[in-house]
Amino acid sequence: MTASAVPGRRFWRIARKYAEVGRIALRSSWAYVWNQLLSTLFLVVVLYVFVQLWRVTFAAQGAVIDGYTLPEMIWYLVTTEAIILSFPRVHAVLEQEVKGGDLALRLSKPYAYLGFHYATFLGEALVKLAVMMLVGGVTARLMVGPIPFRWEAAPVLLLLYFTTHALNFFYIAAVGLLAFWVEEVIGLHLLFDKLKWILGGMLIPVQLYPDAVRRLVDWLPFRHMIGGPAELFVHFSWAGAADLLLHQALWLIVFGLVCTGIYRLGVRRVDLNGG
Amino acid sequence: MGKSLAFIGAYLRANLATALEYRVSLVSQVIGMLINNALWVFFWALYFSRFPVVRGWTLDDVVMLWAVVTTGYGLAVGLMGNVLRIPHLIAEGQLDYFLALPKNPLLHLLVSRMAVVNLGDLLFGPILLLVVVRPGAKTALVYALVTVLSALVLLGFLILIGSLTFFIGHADAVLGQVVNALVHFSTYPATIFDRGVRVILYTVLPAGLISTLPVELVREFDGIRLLWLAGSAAAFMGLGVWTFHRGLRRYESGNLMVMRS
Repeated sequence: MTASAVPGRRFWRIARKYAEVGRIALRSSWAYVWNQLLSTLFLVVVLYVFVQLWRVTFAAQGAVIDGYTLPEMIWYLVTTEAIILSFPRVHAVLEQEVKGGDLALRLSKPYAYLGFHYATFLGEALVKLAVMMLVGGVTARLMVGPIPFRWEAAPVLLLLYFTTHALNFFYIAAVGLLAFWVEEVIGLHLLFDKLKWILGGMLIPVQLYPDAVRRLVDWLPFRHMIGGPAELFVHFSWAGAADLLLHQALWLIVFGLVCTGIYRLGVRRVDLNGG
Repeated sequence: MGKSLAFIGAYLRANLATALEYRVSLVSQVIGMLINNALWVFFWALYFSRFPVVRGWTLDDVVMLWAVVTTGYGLAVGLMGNVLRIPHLIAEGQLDYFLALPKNPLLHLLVSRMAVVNLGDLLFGPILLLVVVRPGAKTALVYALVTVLSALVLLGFLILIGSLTFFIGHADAVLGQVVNALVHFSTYPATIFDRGVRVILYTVLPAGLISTLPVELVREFDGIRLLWLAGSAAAFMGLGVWTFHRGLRRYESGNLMVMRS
């Protein structure tokens, strides 16, 4: 046995543990797949409204707006909606665990608190994403038709979903963990979540923003959390994918450190009593 | 009528006093909602910076729409904080408490809770109006009137939808989707939709009555259309209250022992 083999084996053992947590969450979520399908009714409504709004807009502006045709615009919105709607209510769960004391139970388990939740929420999110993309895709196909899709890009887009999910997870988990200090995080969540929506290009591609806003967006992480992956879904390029992955990796380090820091500071405030 | 208003007033004061006990939470939720709504308006500002007119609607109209819809929502859902919980209260047999007391059970359950976060919605409209629109006295008066009517349409619709639980049982998810759809449709001008959908938005899913019609009245006042809005508010409230009371006949006690604090 070499010295380097031991940490390597340890890494895979830990990775397997969290993969197993994710798998259980995925199977659990899959058991309620019909429920998930029912909840996509709202997605259909949202897409219908968007199709109407953009149909009117394209009718007035011409067939192409900043590189987007109507079908591309709608498929872009299908992707942003699927990313956002597939994301579980992380902040609410963490807030409840901090306030309700379930956190204390988790601390005694042989896993990292944030790692466990990341794996659980990823498992749930994958089922939701599949359902959202299916329903959203069928809706878009019926309303505006298909767009050319590069199937060879599918594995890269799936990988990008994992990194996108991780970024979103650490961002919102940091908000949820503020429950160590404030009674309710819903107000903070509304603020941070909508900031992400608007500056991340959830409702309208960032290219269509005024220059000043676009320059601001370039310095912020939000585009890499929603709009970036959706732009690649519609207009895929290998260079674009590499650029997005690089930015996501950098922001992941920042968010990971901030979230872990908040968790460590917060968990010091927990008092455990036997009983 | 006077007694009911005094009853509502007393409950609202008590609910507000309770919320004020958790001041940090109250402030953070209200500010969070104010910023949430402001960001939606910001989205529209971005949209209209690129496409200045959409089917005759400008940014000013959409700003007015948000002023009406948010305050209407704050009145109907913020102050009548249990309205979205009607399906849950019915399905879980938690109406017993309200039925045992000598007050109208529907009114009592509606006012017995305040949705603190939606107080942000309640305040957003007037703030938006004062900061962005800066209306004259007449516009402000029409705004106040149509917003109250819009809130009554919404309240009546939510009572109606919630009361369907008496007849179809556990259906929180479906009812939730209908409510979400209504709210979503009401944040867009109804003019962007096809004629068929517009008919739906002015009848069975009254998003047009909650948002577009009030905005058109503020933009260009018309007595006949105001009467139409007032009649719709009366119709939805009447239908909601009637359905709730019809449904009460089918209600079965939950026999729950619950500590109310």
